[in-house]
Amino acid sequence: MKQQKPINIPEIRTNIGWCLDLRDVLSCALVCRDWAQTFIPLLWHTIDLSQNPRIPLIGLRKHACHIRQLKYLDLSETSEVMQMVLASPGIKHLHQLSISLCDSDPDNMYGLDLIRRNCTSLMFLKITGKSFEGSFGVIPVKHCIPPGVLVCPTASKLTVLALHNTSLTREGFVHILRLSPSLQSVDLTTSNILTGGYIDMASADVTNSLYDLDLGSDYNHLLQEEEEGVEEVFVDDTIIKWKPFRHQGVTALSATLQEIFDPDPDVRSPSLLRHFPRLRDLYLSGLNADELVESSDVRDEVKACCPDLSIVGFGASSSAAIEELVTNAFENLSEVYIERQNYTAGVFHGLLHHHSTLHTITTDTDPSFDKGPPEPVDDAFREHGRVVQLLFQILPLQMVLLHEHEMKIEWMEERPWRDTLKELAVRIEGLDTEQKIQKTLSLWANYWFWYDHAVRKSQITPPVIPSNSESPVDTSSSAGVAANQIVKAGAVVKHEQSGSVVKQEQSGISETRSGMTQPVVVLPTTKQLSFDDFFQDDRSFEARVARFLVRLPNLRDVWLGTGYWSR
Amino acid sequence: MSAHSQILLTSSEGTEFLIDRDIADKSMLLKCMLEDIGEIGQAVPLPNVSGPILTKVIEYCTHHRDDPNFLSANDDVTADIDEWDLEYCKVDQGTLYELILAANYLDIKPLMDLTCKTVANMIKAKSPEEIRKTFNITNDFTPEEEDQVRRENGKDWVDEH
Repeated sequence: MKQQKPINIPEIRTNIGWCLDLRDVLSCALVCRDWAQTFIPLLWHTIDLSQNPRIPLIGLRKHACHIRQLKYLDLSETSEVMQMVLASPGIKHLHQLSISLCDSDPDNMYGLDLIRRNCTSLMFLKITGKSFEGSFGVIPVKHCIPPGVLVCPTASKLTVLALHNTSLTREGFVHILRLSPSLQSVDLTTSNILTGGYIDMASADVTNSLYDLDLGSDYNHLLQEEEEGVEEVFVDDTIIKWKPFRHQGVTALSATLQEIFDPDPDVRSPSLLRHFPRLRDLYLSGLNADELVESSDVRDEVKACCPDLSIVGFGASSSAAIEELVTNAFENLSEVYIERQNYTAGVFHGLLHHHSTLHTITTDTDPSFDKGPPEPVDDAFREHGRVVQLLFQILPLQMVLLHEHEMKIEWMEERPWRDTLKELAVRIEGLDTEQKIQKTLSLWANYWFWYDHAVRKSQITPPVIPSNSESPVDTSSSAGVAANQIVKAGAVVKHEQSGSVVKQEQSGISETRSGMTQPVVVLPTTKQLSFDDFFQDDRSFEARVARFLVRLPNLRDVWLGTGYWSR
Repeated sequence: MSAHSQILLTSSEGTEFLIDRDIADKSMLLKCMLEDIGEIGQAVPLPNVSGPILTKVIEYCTHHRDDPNFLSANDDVTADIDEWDLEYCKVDQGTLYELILAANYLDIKPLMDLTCKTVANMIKAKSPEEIRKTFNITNDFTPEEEDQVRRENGKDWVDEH
């Protein structure tokens, strides 16, 4: 077989193209005809209108078919680029589109037409309606989106759908779910799912059908559960059998509690959770303690509809509302996302209810925030921060990212943390400069380097470090356990005597205590052979923190104010 | 299936290579094949890969043997290449090409990404003419065509800072 140059194989050339910036891609497109075929589509692949791209309009018509991602298309803008994009029938293979509607219906029609043209290929679709006063209010009915444009009758690939400031009818929403088997994530924050008839904006009678829907508010819906998921709904004394469509693929939902449990503000209707039996991940925003849905209702509905729900996030919400929900509505959560302003004793106490399952607590941070030296945090919560220690002592936490929370080392040392922790990002009072943080973490990392090295050289399975019994204040550790560990360590040591290399490398790092003359490698498994040996002479604050951290045997990634360290 | 089992591979010139199963599993081609047909006890022939290149590929897979996210890694194509990988790619153009082809054939995505990134680094900041020289390509554009591509596809897509 004649060995071909990989640069001549189009797929490989495309692969190479992904590693280049646009300027270089253009140079490649100018190399020869063959290369142009590969690189021109890459130039047009993504158009992000928020970046003010200077699109070569002269080529748009010809190359529109190469566009796959169209971001931040705002229909209220009237720029030439926008007009040209909307008027390009060639844009019909989009994978990703985010679009904002405007006041003008004709312009919106162009936008909806663009969506319709791409509905067979779209995987990610975000539609933002015109924003209104009070973003969590009711969306006027006339901003209903006709569901027919969002999904094609066959082969929809839609996996992520986000609708903001818009509304859909319940039937329309179900229609979308039914025709989008690949859908995984639905975001309805600031959108309403209204009860009522199917609206088709394309029909001549648009206005009338919209008014008809408004009259729907007189209907009185009552629900009764029956077996096999068929529910009876009373509408004007007529019983309607309704079996909610259950989507088997959607695992993530974002919305406000009202939008989920009371989707139509005017008419009582069943919660949206009924459509998502596989839901795992719920992101709630705009929670307000005063207008909270009864937490017992939330609990019952989640139990009945979404047994897999285990991840909950809260955004732009009041702490009292979060406290109420994590305490009384959700059970056995495994991951929780909260915002900085919701660090309260109440919220953290609420999380203790998930004592056998909760392994991740995070707060998103601006990625730019970790550039350079640590900035002081204005932590109003600090005085009550001791409650956070309870989380580490009780919950089986694996990942805790609270970049803007500052702890006191005295509190941390009071009681041992559980040894499940793998990743930690907090600040510790006293570590206020880059140098101090780096010193702490390099002590921590060096310890593990030393430890891993010792284990590897001695060819043994690493012993489990009994971190819980190592706390300075915990003197109750049983003598039996300690004795057992000495035996184990003894075996290790014996084995180690043959490893002369280790001895040389390790001498100077660690001195053994009385009775252990020959072997230099000390595996930190007992009180006698404590890891304190490693920092023996170091009485600095940094060593104190590092000593605390090395007692967590599974901890691999740490952030204490600037820069992640891993071991 | 034993985790410590070994697989025998035969390169294009007939040299045999005995490698651990977990190293072979880095290649989607071998992984799927071994899952489908089980371990046949015979050598797997790789007629498209020469001995020296196979050695090099095995070196890569062995170095990255314990990467937890071997398959999901390198999604960010603009990420920097780490030191070992950088050193690994310091080979002549012919070897680099053969590595790409082997990575492509054996379906080892991280190696594919690494080698493609290395080629991309050879292209960066070069003019079309310099690229042609680097890869020994003849310009088959007429001046009109070249000008058309330039006009239709713009000079700068993104505002310069």
